[in-house]
Amino acid sequence: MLSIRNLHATVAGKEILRGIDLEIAAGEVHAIMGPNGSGKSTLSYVLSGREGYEVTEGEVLFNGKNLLDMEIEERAAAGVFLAFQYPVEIPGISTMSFLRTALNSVRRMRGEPELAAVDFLKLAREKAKALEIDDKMLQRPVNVGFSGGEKKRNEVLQMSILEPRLMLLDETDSGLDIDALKIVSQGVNALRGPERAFLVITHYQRLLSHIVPDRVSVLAQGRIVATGGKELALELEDKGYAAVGLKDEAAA
Amino acid sequence: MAINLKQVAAPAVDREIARFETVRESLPGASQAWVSEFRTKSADMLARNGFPTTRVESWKYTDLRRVFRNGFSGEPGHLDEIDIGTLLPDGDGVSIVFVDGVFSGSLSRLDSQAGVRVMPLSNALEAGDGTLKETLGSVARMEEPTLAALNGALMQDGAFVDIADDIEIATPVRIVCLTSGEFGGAAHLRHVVRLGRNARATVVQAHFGTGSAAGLCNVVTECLVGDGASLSVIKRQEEGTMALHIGLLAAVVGRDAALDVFTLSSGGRTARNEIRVTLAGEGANARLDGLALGRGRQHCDNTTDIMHAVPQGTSNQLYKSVVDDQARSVFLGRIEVAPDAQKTDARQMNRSLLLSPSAQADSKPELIIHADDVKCAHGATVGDLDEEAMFYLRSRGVSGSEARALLVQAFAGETLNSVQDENIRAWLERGLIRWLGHGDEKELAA
Repeated sequence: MLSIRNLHATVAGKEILRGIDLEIAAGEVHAIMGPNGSGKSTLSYVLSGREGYEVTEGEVLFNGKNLLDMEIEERAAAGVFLAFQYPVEIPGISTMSFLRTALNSVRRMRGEPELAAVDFLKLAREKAKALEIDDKMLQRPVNVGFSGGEKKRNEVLQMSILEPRLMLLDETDSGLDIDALKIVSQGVNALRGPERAFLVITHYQRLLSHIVPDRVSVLAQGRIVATGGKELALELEDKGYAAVGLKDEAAA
Repeated sequence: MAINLKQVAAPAVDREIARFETVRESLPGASQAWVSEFRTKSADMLARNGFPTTRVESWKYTDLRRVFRNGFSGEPGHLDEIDIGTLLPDGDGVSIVFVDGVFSGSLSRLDSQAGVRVMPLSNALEAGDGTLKETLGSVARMEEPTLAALNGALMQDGAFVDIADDIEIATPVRIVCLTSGEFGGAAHLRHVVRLGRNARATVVQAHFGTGSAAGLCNVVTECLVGDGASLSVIKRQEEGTMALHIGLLAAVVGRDAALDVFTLSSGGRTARNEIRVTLAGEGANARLDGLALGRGRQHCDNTTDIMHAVPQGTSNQLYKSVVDDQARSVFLGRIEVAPDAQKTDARQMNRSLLLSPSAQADSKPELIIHADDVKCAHGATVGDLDEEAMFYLRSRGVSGSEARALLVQAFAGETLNSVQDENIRAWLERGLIRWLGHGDEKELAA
């Protein structure tokens, strides 16, 4: 599904990604771990098309298409979804109308008919209920005044409504207490399926005991330095990044 | 004597004075001595002060020299086929309609209600109405250079709204000023709104034009809000792309009375919406909010001047502007607190959103406080679209242009929250959405 080959990228002239090779097959959950500053978030931004992240070398194929040629919203319509580490607050736009605008936008681009207001309301409420999001929260402006947990649940809600193919989870566990982590993980796990893939970026093994990965890669200084099964995450938790030959700077 | 005191733009002033001398006998109220005197006094003030220049503090950022260079000419047209209902908020109410400054009886609907008089100003001038005589010119002052002087000399018509003590009008009085296709002349409209003690009314002022002629709409609205009365004025200005719109709303607000004004201004090549309020009775309240929308080379000026003349007055202002391309918005907010006006509470906020690097927003608060026990707060921000929010929306599949429109709507829409009447708020929202959609929705099929 996703094929990253020799990907180099710079931010403000500084090279952050220095030749990443990564294959993620449909149905797979691939975790990326690594110390601070290793390029984990940069990778997720490059894949989602954020401005200011310049690809200098390499290619990214998504279901055979050149992902790097696509506009941000085209990537979303094609099925790429970035769950933000810090979801953005948008005053003046209600969560409900934000969700509806987003869904109808991707449906239009996918050549599907827009959803009528009533049908959308039904869908949104059903998906929200599973994430313990109440109607009141849906009426509030996007992420404004939301707690950390509410923001992350809102990300998963968007994910479950837009039904993307490739989900990039950028430190989705940050700022979550254990109850919120469970709800969010359940939401993510409910989306797992043979047609979908996940790139789970995290600092900690903690998330990976809830969202169990098929494979784990370690990113350091812009390169993937080790890849293994889910046991690699446990090893890192146990021994720190020294387990893969790195200085133990951020294993805590 | 007048000649010595003339300032710049003298040829334009001379031209307008000459025009006044030519047409004065044909203007409404010519047979009433006090009307003629008022016109003469206005013309004298114009001759003495000239047109406002950018040297006048309240006109610092709006230069009329270019627009007045060639003058205005053109005969009023007709718009008989138009459906006025489509231009107005949903719901009932009397409507008084002017086309190119001329009253249109066929488009107007003037139902009567006890204690309420709504009529063309020309009728009241001709009849020498006693209330009008007391009110006309008592609110809109002419000591400083102002187009109100030109208006006073040449006013053709307008709405005269007179509401007796303790009367409440349940539905808004709708004053509609339309500019026909290619009208390049000048319309001098004067509205006079008088509310008696404890009266309540909502007045809608709609200005629409679709042509591309460089005509002038010079509209002066004088409001006298009696003790305990409550007046709400909502203005939506969508003149044609090359039009010059100069609006002045002047109000005197009595004891424990309230004035709310909302201005949505998106039309015209150059538009000015000036509001001058005197809080003349203790406990008087003024709320002035506005939204200016501009693109292309539009210039929109919102200037407010609130005089807290007596104690315990409150005033609140929220003005926002959104400017794209090379458009420019101006906000000048003057608040003066008189020495006796203790316990005044005055708040003013101006926020501007620049959608292009060549767009410009000027904001200038001016607080003059002579009393010592007052609260005065003001603030101003200028910024561009939140890049993070843009990325967030686009990453969810929303196109760049739609994301931009959504964010602008969210920013601008906040100002509408102060509008209580749901139908009127929806009407203003339609104006905002129409602007966001680049005016695709043609409301005025002239």
